[in-house]
Amino acid sequence: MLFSRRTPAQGNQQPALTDMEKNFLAVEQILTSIGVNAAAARMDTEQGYGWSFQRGSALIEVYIANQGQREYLQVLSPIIHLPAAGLLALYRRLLELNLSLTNASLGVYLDVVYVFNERPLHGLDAAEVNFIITQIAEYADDLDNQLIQEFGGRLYSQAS
Amino acid sequence: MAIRILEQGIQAVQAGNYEEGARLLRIALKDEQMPPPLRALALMWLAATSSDPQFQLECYRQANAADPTNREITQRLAQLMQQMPPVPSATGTMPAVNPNTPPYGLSPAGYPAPSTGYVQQPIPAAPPVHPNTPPYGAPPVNPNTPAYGMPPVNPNTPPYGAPPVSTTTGTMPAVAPPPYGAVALPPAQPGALPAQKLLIQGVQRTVGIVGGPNGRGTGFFATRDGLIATTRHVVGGLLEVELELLTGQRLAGQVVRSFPAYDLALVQANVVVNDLLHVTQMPVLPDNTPIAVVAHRGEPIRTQRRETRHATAPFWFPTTLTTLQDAGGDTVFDATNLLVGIMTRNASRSNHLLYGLHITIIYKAIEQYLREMQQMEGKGAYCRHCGSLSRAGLFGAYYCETCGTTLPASLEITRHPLPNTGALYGENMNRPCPNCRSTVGYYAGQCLRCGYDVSKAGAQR
Repeated sequence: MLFSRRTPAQGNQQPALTDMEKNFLAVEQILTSIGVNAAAARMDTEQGYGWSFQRGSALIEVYIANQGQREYLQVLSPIIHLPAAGLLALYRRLLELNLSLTNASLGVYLDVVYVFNERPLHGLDAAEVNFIITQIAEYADDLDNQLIQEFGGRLYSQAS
Repeated sequence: MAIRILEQGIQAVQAGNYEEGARLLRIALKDEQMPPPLRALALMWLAATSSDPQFQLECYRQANAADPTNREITQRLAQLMQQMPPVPSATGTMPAVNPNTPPYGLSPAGYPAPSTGYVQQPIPAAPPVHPNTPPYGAPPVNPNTPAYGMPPVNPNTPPYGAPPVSTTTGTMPAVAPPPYGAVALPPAQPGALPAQKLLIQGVQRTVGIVGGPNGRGTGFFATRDGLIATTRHVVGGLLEVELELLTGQRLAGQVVRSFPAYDLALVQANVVVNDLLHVTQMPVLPDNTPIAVVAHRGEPIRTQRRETRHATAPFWFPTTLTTLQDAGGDTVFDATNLLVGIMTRNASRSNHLLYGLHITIIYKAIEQYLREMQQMEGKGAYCRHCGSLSRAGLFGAYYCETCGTTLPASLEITRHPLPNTGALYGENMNRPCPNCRSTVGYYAGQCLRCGYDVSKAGAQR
């Protein structure tokens, strides 16, 4: 079939990138453009790609995750280790804060409280990524000391 | 506390347990803060616990001294004195009621001022103090007592705080309400009821609830000390609402307890109610029973208890109504004019027909509230989020132990982790998590703190 033949030029091309790989490159480019050393920030992840870096005093983690047919950008910041007691009131407070945060939410994974944002990768640009990272970092900065002071526990990545 | 003990004493006497009744009444009388009309009432009931005429006379003398305006006491005292030889002095057989004597292991009578961290609960109001109407009806005659002109007992007199026993048979509620009125009590003796407490005369078929989040609502006086029952939907998460009597008079109401599971809320008004609505004694409302729904200042709507095959809790009764004239809480009467419940805005899942809440569960909830108040010695803090009474203040804690919300009194203060609240929040009764050593507990086999799956860990071993 005439139209199914490869042209010589096509035969010399590198294997096509998967969507995830394209997204990886796009996000690295965006992170670099907002002042993050993307290569140094790369993390090993079981699935997808991840970066970890500091923004202000907050630790920021960025992931590309595939859910269903869509890729998502996840930006999150671990803020505190849960205290050993007083969890009812703390969990309640986290839910109340959840309702008051804009474009972010709080969650718990294992014994760590995270502030979190997720949006589809499609249409993402550098300005929006920068805004999300800045906002998550600000929330993390605001909330960590506030929660520790009231409920106890331990700041994430702090020894005691 | 003294009021509650007085109530228990009266109930004991009504039940024929004179010895226990006398004991409780004596404890109640030790409260020197007890308002004089209540003291007089307690002494009248104490008199009824003994067959000794001199004891009775002395009780009535003290009752008369406490409340000289009570004509009932004056008349009985006169009758006793006519039939008795003069008593030389006021001493003698009268039991010790020295207010300085410490009570029998009870906390100080009355409701102590709450410590910081609480929403102050209102002092339970006294029973009616209309000079011509003994609040509990006349004290019963001890069968062993010589009948010194004592009036017969009214067996239908409702106990304090309990639903009045129905005695009336009649027609559906009249459209035109009976005469109502609320008059301010005269500032009688020092230590009497606060001057701003209103005495409400005449039956109030409804009380308006104004200022709620869902618009105007309706309620009814459930106890003589001004406890109003309405729906939680009417008051929402408010701590205070405005009440409207049938005369149009407005007064403040404090939401003191709510039961979201029943869509029920209790509001305390600073009033004394002379006459309560008569309440049905039937625990359930039979199918197709004709009922009348009365909204505050609205027209009665005649409908019926809907027959349904859908199984619901017995305290809900389905109706044929799809709309109400206000946000809910409308009183519901049966064909004999007895209160059978209140209307709610809760509807069936399959249609828009509304449900009512049966009066039995309302009074059970009230009993629970009064019991909680007694157990917490009036220091319970109302949590507007979950409706419960929190005892967090007793522990110096900030958060409701039921829902974890920050209690109003703790909102504006600096809060910090407290070490000794495990018992309050039930966090000290669990075995430590093998992973994080926390004792906060488990849900579905997972540690509430770190999520460690205890069941899987056990299976792996």
